[in-house]
Amino acid sequence: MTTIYDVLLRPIVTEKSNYLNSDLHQYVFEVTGDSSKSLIKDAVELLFDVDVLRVNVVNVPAKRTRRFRNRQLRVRRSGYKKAIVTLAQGDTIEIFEGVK
Amino acid sequence: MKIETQELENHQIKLTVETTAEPLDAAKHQAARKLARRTKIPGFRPGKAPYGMILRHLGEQAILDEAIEILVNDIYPKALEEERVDPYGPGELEKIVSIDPPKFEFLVPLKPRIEIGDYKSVRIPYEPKQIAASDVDEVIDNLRERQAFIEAVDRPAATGDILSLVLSGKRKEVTEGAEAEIVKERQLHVLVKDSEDDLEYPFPGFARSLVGLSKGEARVLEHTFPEDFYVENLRSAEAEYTVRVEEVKSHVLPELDDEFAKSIGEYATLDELRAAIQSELQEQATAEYDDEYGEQVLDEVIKLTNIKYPPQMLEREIDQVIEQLEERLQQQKLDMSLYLKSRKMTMGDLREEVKPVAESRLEKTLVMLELSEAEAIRIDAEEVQEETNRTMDQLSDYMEDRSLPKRLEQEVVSNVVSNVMMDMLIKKTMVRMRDLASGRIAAAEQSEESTPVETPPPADSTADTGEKPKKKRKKRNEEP
Repeated sequence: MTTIYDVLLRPIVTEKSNYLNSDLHQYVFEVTGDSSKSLIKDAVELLFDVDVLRVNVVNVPAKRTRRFRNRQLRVRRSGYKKAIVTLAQGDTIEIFEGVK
Repeated sequence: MKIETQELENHQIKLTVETTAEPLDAAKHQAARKLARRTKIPGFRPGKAPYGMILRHLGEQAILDEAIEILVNDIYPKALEEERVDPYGPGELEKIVSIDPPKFEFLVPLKPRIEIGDYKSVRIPYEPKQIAASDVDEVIDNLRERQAFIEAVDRPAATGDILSLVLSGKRKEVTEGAEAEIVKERQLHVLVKDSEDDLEYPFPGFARSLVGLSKGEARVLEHTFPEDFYVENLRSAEAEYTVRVEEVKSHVLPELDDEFAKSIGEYATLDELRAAIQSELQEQATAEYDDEYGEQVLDEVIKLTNIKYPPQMLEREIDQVIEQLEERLQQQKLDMSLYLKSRKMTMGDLREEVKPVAESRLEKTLVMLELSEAEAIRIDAEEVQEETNRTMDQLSDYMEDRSLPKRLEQEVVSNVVSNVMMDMLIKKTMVRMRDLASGRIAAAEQSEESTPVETPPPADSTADTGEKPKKKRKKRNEEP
């Protein structure tokens, strides 16, 4: 079973998340598949000591791809659940610090 | 920006520059952006990652290295300007004293300083070689020799005749294992002469011993080879040569008269020919002497001169000397590594070897340029144009063969122009110095007034000379 500490798997730092971060004050995490919006909200508020205004969740679908060396071989990339967390004005999360 | 300067003894200057942290920060950001373009950071397109991300990904040191380079490039010219340093070439970042605050030490080579002594006092007697009648005779004799024809005669051979003969030779005493025969019967043409020379065939003194033989006559010649003869198996051998003369031919020189003069070229009389030869020889001798004399004068002036230049300049001169050597080698189908191997040297040894040559060359050039300035020697545009045209014509055949890119062509053109200008400047200076040193200054003064003084010195005029050939090229294109 998942506890509240297991909900957040990793922060997602990409060009897109960077944009969300700096312009919309949103932070992006990968979360466990069975977590809910409210669980994510609790987890972020507990771990980073911030106020969460809103949580959006996306289930990123699994995708098929091919191996580079062996063109025939098809590989399935597992999907994941992505949470986009909007924080209250003035709150920041350390991990994303410096990424501005 | 705080700058300290310190002059070093080898004509360089040490600049210590200290700045605040802000320019370094700016440079860091610039460096990060530059580096990011080349690095892949997952989640970001190249060059799009934010500074923090790059910093975390590449590490502080990599960015700092790049940043320092950027900062130095920015600071260095400013420092030079502020301190009014006139550098000869690019300076060197000697040491990074500290990062926070950024403090750097530069080593800057200075422009050569030349203090010419009283060069006007240099006097060397000017005495070109006078051509004597005997020199002219020598040339004429050579000409006659070339026009000589060969004629069979019926008389005993004398000096200067050509004998065609059959020669055979054998050893007197046959030692075991050696062949008795030295020369099998063979035809030979020999010029009978007075002197002996060591490489004569079959032995030294052979030609001399033929005097007095006439057609059909035979003679047996005995010869003992010396112990140190150059053919090993003939050393100290006693040999017997049989010679049978087939023909005596005499070498008839043309008569020395007006007819001969006409056959040489467009000379009506022998006197005319003599005069032409005389003046040509004189010209040659004078030109040769002029060169030599100029060198002497220059050497004297260098002795009076105090020259200071940075070591980089000498290095460059050495490079040039070696480059020229390489070109010469290439003409002989050799290459540098082979050359070095054959002389059992390394590149370092070679550099050391050519150092004195480069030194004197450098000094001469520097003094020459300084002299041309001191004497206010100018070359005027038309002369340059003319000379350039000539050089370009020589080059043009070669250039048209290849479709060189236009930019390169332009480069070649401006190179040619600056070379030509340099050559002319040096030539003129040389003439001037000769006149000064030989005491013909008064005459030179007059001629200087008549030469127009309108061109700026070559160093500043590179910009407009680049355009001159363009016009000329267009013109040439229109002609056909």
